[in-house]
Amino acid sequence: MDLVIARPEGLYCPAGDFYIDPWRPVERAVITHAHGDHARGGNQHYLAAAPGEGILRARLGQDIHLQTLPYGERLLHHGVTLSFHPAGHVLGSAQVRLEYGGEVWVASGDYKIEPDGTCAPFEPVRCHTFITESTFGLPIYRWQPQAQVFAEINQWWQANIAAEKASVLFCYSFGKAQRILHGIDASLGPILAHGAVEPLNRVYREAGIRLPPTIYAGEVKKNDPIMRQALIIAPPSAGASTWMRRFGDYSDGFASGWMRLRGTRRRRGVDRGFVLSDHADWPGLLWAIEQTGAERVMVTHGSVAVLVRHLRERGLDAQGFSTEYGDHEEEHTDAAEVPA
Amino acid sequence: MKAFALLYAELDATTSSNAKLAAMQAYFAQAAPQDAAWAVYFLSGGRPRQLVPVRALRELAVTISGLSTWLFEESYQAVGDLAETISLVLPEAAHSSSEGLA
Repeated sequence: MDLVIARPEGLYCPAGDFYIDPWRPVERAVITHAHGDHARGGNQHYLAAAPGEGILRARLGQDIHLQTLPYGERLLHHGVTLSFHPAGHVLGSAQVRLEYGGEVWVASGDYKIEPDGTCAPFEPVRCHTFITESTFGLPIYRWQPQAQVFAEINQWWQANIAAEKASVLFCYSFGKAQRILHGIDASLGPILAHGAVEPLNRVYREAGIRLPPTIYAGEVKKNDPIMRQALIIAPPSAGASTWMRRFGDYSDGFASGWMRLRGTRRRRGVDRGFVLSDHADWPGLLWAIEQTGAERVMVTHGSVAVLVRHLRERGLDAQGFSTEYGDHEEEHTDAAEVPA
Repeated sequence: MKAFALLYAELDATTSSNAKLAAMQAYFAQAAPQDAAWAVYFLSGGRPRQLVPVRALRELAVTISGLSTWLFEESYQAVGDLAETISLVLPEAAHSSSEGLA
């Protein structure tokens, strides 16, 4: 029996009568993480991993009906045993493990293999059926160790300071921004954060994640000399806006897994592309799938057909699941990303 | 070759014409004359007659990367450039060479 099926509202568990990351409003929604394409407003009851509570409430409203569970703790609902396990994607992100009648399914949401210090690291969970993403499901996507990427960012920032230019680094405001803040060398100069990033920094700090001090960019005057030494963290949407004028002479960069391809970087029109993703790369996807021991794999979003075909060639029972999750990490629709 | 590769990376890492000019000035100030001549040839769009057929390059890339042919083709479709695709699927090279461009 299938523990999870695809319905127009989202991924549905018939035995437990609840949805996982539904894209239409439902009565019971189990949420893997707070990115806009996975956690949407309008559901009557929410269930999520405890470390994600602050972010979920900040994004969906303080008054949502939300129940939380610590990682690993089990909850019995209509005979289905449910638990959350770290997905290593962003703060509070979880894989959902479901057990019913001896059958175990794990829905991974989005996940990343390399631990980064801003969220609990990915833990493989044994299961019969694994529901996986495939955002970067092509062999061309292989990540360098993040220490190397942070060193590149530090170098770029230092060179810009020497040339008396501001360094504007575009990245997704929830998760990626905090990971960068956590990973870079904050002693190089002042760090400014865009209005979409700063509230999320606050939530991360409240959750006990160490982030260097940041200055809200809106508080800095247009010709303040600190601009020429500053690293500015801003969402991609700020790039085309008048918000950029305050920085005078600047160099810009974009941090995303898509920067692995020269073409995507050129189309962005930024000086520098930094290959940094909060998703698993191709070897990471294959490793995670293998670790689950699952013989059946459902692929939800990204390069679905490619991963399905590859897994079938390796003897697994793989198929695609049609969902409305985003497949471009830079294109998460996000109401919070208004210019500020 | 390394100095030229570095120059290319620098040219590629900025959208500012002044920064590109500065990178080229720095390169040509230190490049050996025979390397500099080749650098001018390449930077102005010159391409030597093809020494290795594209088909051989493709087949080698598939063999060395260990990918199925269809997976290599899917990758090429996503990247849009054969040389870049090959560079992205090959394993990290264990050896390095410091030969000049000429």
